[in-house]
Amino acid sequence: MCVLSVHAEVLMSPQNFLGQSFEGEPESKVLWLSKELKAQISKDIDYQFHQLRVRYWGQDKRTAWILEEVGKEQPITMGFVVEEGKIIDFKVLVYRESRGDEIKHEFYRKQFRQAKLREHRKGLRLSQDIDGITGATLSVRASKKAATLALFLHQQTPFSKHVETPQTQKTQ
Amino acid sequence: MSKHRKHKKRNKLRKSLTKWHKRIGLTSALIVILLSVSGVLLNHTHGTGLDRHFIGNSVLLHLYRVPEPSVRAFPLNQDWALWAAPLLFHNEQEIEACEGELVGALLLEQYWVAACSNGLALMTQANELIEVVHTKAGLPQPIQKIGSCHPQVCVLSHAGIYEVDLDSMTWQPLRRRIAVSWSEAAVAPAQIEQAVKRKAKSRVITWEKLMLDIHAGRFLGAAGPWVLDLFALFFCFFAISGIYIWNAKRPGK
Repeated sequence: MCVLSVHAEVLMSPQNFLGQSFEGEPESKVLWLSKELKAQISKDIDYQFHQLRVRYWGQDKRTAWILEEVGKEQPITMGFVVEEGKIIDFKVLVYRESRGDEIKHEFYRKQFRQAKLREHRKGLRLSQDIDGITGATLSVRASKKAATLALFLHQQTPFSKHVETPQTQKTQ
Repeated sequence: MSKHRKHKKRNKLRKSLTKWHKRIGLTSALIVILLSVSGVLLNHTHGTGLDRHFIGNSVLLHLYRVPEPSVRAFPLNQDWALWAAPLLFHNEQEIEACEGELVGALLLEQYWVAACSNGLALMTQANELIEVVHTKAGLPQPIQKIGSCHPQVCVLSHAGIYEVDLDSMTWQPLRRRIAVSWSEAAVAPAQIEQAVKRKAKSRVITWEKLMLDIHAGRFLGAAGPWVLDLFALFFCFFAISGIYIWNAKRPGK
């Protein structure tokens, strides 16, 4: 039997990602995924959730998501920060595929900034075009799907309906 | 006279080529079909699901020399959590949970927890996955054991014992003086263990791998690629001889 060893390139720890995304340490929250929500995610984003809840971090109008999507064979761990329905940051935390890791570079990641959700006849898509990378087609596809999912999940949280209170205004 | 001899020589070559063209054509037919079918299937492995479906046939698994997996089992009251690399099972039911080797399992009031070296998986009593917390989310790693330290759950890592709050998924070093009741491996009933081994063995080789090995000739062993190289030469001969014969038979030739 051939035993494949998976090389995981850890680019950033979740703690660093969250530290850069928020002032202070926000508590982690969970979003319960109902059958209806899972079905909608599967239909509109073509993403299959196997668990009943997904963990995220939130503060004021901002949420952070650590999501995984398979590129060709291995899951890519990605971190997204969403605020007011727009992606404000995207980082690749762990890359395990043997090729296609160009998505970790700033020139690629910056294309996601300010991206919003857009309804498309085939489901939900990003509002702006993301240029592909030759040789990293599947990683690009995975990152676009995960970004769309992060935006959609953000909409399901109370942080998307954040109402400013005097206290939250102070912290900004 | 020399023209006649030349014509006779060419006829002889054409006849000889035709004879070999037929022989090689017949010999190569099966290989051409195999290469064509496997090639088409390889072009559509995702669409046909060949990259996601595994071979369960015992003869093919024997040919691939897939070894018998070793099983680690942890009791959960009347039930069992079992690990047969790379799969996790609850009794005989395969479950998608955490990555890494199973190091323990704990039955709680509303759910049960599978502790793998790379994370914790919370499962409902109906074996639905609630959530996986990976060590990459900051959980001390690798996890070596899981146990009960009432009312919390404790995990042992190389850095020490941590108390884990499974609701908030936060952890901190255990500071209370409490004896932790660790989950220990035990021998599962033979029937469950055999079923688990059978299932784990049939999750090693995908149909895509078999197609690739057929296409590259590796299914014939170490000599396979050389045999296919020989057939590649036959195909070249087949094409060249075909063109020659066609050209020689053209009217006016």
